[in-house]
Amino acid sequence: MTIKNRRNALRDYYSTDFDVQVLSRVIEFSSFSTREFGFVSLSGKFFRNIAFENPKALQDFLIDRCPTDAYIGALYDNPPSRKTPIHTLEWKGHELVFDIDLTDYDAVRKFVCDCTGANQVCVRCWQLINISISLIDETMRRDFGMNELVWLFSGRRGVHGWVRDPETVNLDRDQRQSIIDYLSVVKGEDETARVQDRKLLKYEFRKRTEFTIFKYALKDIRRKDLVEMGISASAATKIVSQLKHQEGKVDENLIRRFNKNLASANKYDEVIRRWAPRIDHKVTIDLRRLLRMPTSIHGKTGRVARILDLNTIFEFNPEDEPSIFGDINKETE
Amino acid sequence: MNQRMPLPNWFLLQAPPNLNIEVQAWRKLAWNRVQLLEKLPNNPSQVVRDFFPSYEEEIDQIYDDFRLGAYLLRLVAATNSRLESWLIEVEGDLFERLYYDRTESPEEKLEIYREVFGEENVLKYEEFKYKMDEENNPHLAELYQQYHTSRSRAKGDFLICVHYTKVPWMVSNRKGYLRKGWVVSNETSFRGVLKKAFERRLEKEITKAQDLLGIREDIDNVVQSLEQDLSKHVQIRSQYSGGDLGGQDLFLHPEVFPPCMLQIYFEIEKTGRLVHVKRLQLGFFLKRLGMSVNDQLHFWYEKSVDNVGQSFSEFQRTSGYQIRHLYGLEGGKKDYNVPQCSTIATGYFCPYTHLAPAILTEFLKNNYYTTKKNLTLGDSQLNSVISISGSNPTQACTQYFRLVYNRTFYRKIVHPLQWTRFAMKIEGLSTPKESENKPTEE
Repeated sequence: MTIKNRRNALRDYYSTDFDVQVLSRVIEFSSFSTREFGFVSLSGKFFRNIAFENPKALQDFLIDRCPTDAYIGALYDNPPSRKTPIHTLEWKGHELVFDIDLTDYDAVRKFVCDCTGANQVCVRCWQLINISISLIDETMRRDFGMNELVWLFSGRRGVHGWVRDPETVNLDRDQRQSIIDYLSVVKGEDETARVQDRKLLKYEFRKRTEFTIFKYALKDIRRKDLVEMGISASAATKIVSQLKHQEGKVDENLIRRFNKNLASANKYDEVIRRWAPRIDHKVTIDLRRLLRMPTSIHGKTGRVARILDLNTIFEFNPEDEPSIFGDINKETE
Repeated sequence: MNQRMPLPNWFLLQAPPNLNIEVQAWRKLAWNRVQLLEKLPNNPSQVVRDFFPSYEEEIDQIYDDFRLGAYLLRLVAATNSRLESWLIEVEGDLFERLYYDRTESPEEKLEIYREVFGEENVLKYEEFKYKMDEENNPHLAELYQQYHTSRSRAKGDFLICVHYTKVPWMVSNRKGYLRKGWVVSNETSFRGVLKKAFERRLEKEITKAQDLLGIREDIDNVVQSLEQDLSKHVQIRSQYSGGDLGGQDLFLHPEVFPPCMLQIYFEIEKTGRLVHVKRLQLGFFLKRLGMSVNDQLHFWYEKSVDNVGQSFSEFQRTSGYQIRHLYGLEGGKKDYNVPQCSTIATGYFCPYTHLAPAILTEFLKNNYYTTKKNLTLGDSQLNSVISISGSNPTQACTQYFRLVYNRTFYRKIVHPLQWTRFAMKIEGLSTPKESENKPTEE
């Protein structure tokens, strides 16, 4: 597809389907004029240090210039521009954000599906992301008392979580890092990463983590898989029959039983390591980071970075998302 | 609104109400404070007893003088960053000691918490329960049973709630019960972060004190002369940098590398590829073992696999920048030290923190070697190391050192170069001959 066709497709999307008001779900409009925006032009050049008077001006810009990617940055004391770039301005705030990307799961993805490389993604490995979303969302709401969380498909291989609660805007790096530390059950990125001691996960957080992870670890599990895991044959039979009896529903009783069996087989760490959330902490602690704009287009895939509905999150399949570039993906692949 | 207790008289964060004082007398008060702060590390309880009377006729005057002395020191600290870090450290220690020795009632303690963390960020357990609608929370009931016993009361311990933004360390380490953005725990567990928060508050007060400089000439003069005297007088403790072990080509002896560096060294030998932080960590370490920048350029050129088909000069031009940066020859031109163990555990690679227990055991058992003896370590010996590795990596490393070198006593290892320094002594690598062979200036 030529640049001209891409421009038309983008202009079409930004003038008809894109509604700038949707941004109010992740950012506060009252300080719109001092917020930084960034874009990738059709020729592939990256621009940042751009500000807009109001949301309407942003929408006009998108229709006029048709950037392939659009990003939202932090708040400053004055509007950023080429003459007054962000490093000359005083930082005033940035929403708390989480970036979960399948790249961080490469070491454990092979246990779930056959996807390899940067471009492959399937429903099965997307379950890893879904588990992270449900665990982080619930923890942020219950343990940290946040109310306004929005999850966004990044357009390719990951999701972004935005916390819109006003008190999170001024969090400093240490405070953001502490939240990441609290949420991270696995320390390190590779296959041998250390799983935190079960004793250190306390109260509801431990219960929540185990419940969410085991629920998916036990989904459609066969007796053979459990035995291969190292669980004794009789215990495996009991788990499978209980699952059958409950029509696949995983309850607290079953979790307790599975937990015990895993501990005696010394496989607790392995299961947790495979399914636990892996957050790209650099994105969260970077106070000036640009993040993909909600409902903007991902330049490489042409997919819309749409806001996800938490109630139907486990039905979301990134492969089913339509691309506004139509068949270009096939051509480029 | 509840009636608030006044802050204890020894709490000196605020500015003194009245600065109409003759500057020389003021200078003397500041100097008295310096002497007090310097005596503190030797015998803290004695200092508190001698300098901070509870009952005295002129008690108000004594504490007013303290306030004035402390305030002048803050003005001085505002002009000199080294003095600032010294003052924050010693005042922090004094605060901690006075808090231990001089606060008794929970109300008084709570008042200090409110002052340090901000009033809106501290709640009493009962307040939290009602405000947050958590009266039926079983975990809170469990905590209440644990800490509202006669034993806890005798110790002066009680439950307290602090907003999570004020105690990031407690959140990171999951100390206490986090609920609706509040960390609920017993007062004793908050003491470490209370001291840190006090130090941060003091830092802000020092910055604020700057506003008073340049207004009155007599104050500026006394601050200037005191700054000169204090810089000479005060011994400023710097962070342990691990020093330098150059001159002995220790980089040719991986057997004296600490486990973290050895693991990385094996990884680069085996895979030819390292993540950024591991490259930095090994790079700093090799530099401090005396490897020259040229040697290090050759080292990375030989070991890495990403430079296939690249000539050495090309490698020097591209990847060489990073290596020269380690030596302070590029960019910010900072001569970096090897990070301490605590920094390594959080931001770099520490096998005790980052490796799964099974892999760690395997590594500690098989991959470690010394030149002198064939090391065989059993599972039982390593069990104690593994069990504490997650919670206390430096302790685990120290224990492992004792196992490897079969020594019953060695100081705690808090820095990678310390391991090498101790190991070198045992291995006999620093012979007097070597130091004699060093070229002299003559």
